[in-house]
Amino acid sequence: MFRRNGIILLLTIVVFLFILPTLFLDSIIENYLEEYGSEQAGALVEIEGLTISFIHSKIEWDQLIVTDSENPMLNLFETGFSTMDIDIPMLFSRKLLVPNIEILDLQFQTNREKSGAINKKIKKQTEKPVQSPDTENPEDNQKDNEIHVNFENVNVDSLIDQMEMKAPAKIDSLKSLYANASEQWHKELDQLPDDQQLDLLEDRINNINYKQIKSADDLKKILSEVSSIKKEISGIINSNKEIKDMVTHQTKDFKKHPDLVKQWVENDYDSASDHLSSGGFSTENLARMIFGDEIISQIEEYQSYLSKGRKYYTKFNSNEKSEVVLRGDGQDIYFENMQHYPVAWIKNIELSSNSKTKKSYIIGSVKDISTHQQITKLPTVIDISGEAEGLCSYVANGEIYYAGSNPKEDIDVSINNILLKGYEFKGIPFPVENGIGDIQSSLHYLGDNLSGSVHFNATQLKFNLDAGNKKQGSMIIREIVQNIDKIDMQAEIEKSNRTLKAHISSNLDDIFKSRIDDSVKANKSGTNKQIAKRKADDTQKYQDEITSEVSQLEKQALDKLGISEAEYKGKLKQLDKLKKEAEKSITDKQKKELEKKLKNIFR
Amino acid sequence: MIWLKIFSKLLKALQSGSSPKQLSAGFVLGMFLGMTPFLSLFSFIIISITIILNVNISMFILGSLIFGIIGYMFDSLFHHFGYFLLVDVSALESLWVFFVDTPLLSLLRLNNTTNLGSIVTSFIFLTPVYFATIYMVIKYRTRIGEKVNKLKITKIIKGSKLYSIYQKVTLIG
Repeated sequence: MFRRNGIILLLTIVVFLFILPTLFLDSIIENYLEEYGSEQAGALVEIEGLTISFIHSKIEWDQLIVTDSENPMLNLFETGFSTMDIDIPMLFSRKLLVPNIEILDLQFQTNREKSGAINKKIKKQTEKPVQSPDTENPEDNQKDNEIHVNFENVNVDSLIDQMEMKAPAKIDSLKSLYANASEQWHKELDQLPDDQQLDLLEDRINNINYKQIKSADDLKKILSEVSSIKKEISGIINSNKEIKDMVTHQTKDFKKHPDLVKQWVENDYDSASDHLSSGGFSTENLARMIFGDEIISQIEEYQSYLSKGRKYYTKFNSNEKSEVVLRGDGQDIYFENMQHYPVAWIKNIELSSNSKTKKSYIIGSVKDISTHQQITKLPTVIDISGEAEGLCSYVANGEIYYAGSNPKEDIDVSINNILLKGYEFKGIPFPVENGIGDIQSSLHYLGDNLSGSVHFNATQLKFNLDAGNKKQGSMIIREIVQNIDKIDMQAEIEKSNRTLKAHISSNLDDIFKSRIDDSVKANKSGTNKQIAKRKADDTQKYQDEITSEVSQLEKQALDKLGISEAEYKGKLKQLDKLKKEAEKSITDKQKKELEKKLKNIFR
Repeated sequence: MIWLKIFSKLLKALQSGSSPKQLSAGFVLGMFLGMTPFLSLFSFIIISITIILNVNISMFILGSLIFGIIGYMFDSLFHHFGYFLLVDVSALESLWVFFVDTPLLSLLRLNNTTNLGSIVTSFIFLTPVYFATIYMVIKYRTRIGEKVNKLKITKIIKGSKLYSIYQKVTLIG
């Protein structure tokens, strides 16, 4: 019944398929993981010293390096010696279940000696692209009639230059009105007979020869032709007149516009003047200018990490669906009471550090990273803390859950004891000489929406006043800055429909505002003179512009009409002359004979 | 060459000492392999059984080819049948849960509708196909075999140089 050779063959196959690979399993798996990981990460993934022990259900490696696909000269992260417990029986269910990973010396954004770029295969992108951090400047969202102050150059001209003047836009709309009117005039003018038609008319007139009149019938024909041409020319002259009336009527209205322009420009300047006399800027402007960029860059940094998480999660989910099946792939049915596992699930990652050898470290834990959170129904929970080369210490807590209707990320980060020495706040022209800062941020993403807050607190502050420039504008700031010993800034952030709104306030606002208001008000008379001069100059400029444009358009249209009207009147005279000559050329007897016949023609 | 080899071996097997049961068992195992839509642990088990048991390999190949084509044509029926067994027959749910949750057995992928449908269909047809094949082999040997040998195509194949080389090689082997 049994085939002896068959049993030997099967055993041979088993040996080849299972035993031999087991002997070389470590290097096979290491190579496979490097290849697969590189493909998934889009950049080089390197694993050193991987060993697998089925007896202990454990995988260990000396080093794991993942290159940042966006910057191949940087590593996204690298680990030191690490151990990973694996559930071997689950591997036979085609699932990777990792109860625990212990990672030593996890480091982010470390430098690489060689580029970690790989040749990517061009794939059709099927997943919904993860939105990149919104770089929209929050200052743009509340721009209406606000002045953004450059502290290095506090003067009236710069303030007016940054005012949102409404007159130019209105003047532009007038210009487009003129362009439309001119287009309409020229359309009408184009309907008048062209040169070819005029030549034909000319030929008809020239063909009238009164010397050939020999009978009453000849005369009747010629007079009839003269009458027909005259009617045609009169029609053209009437059309000309209608167009001329239209042009004149419209330009009469347009000529009132310079007064309107004057009013608009003056209104703009009056508004600017009012604005300046009240200080010209809000505390909101100041806080946004000093801290806006910092907050945006911090949010961008968080969001770039979260985007990567979303990208890989989407990638894993879409990969399972693209499994190649030769025949009908059917449908996998899952039951409620079955043990349902995702393709890969890391239940716990413990991060620790050998602080004796490393200046910066990360410790803590990350729980429940899985390829399919809709199966585990558990969010990824992050609880880590660390120190960056003695510059600052930080704590990060977060919950990431992608299985709901919208991906959700809640991140709380607090960075303490930041050494601010040498730091330059945007808008303050002096670097920090001494100071310690703390940042507490709390961000909540739901789909593409974000809400959160950032709190920055700096103490023991001292600015290096010798490092700034010595312009007049900076002198005001110098006085203020030398008295600042702490900063307390609070930002509330909200993002929806790709629009980021930030409400930022700080203890510096009132200090700066009152001091600069005083400075501007002190120069009020000078300011008013400057405004009056600019108002007069601009009003004249815009009025001249409009007047010149209207006159030019009117002249163009009327010139064209004037030429043709003169020509047509000339033709009418010529026809009258021809008529008289024709009438002279017949005898009195013929005249009487004709009078009777002509009565009908000129009725 | 390979098709010629299989065909001549098949003819030889049908007329040789291979028992009708061995031929039929090979054909039935081929049916199981051909009907399943993709390679799984089940396919590996079928191939292993074919290698270990003294069944006819040519009939196994023939069976897997014929039922491979049939299976391809009836995939959607297998899907509906499998779906019925997995979803509508609630009494069987604990059995499927057992298969899916048990390591190694889960590699059978019995929670896949098409796979389950085709495997169960194969089991349903096991007995009829087995006995029908035995009956046809016996009939062939007693009635049709001689007629087939007399066919021109059979003579051409048997008279071909390749066939004689093949026979010599198998005799030496």
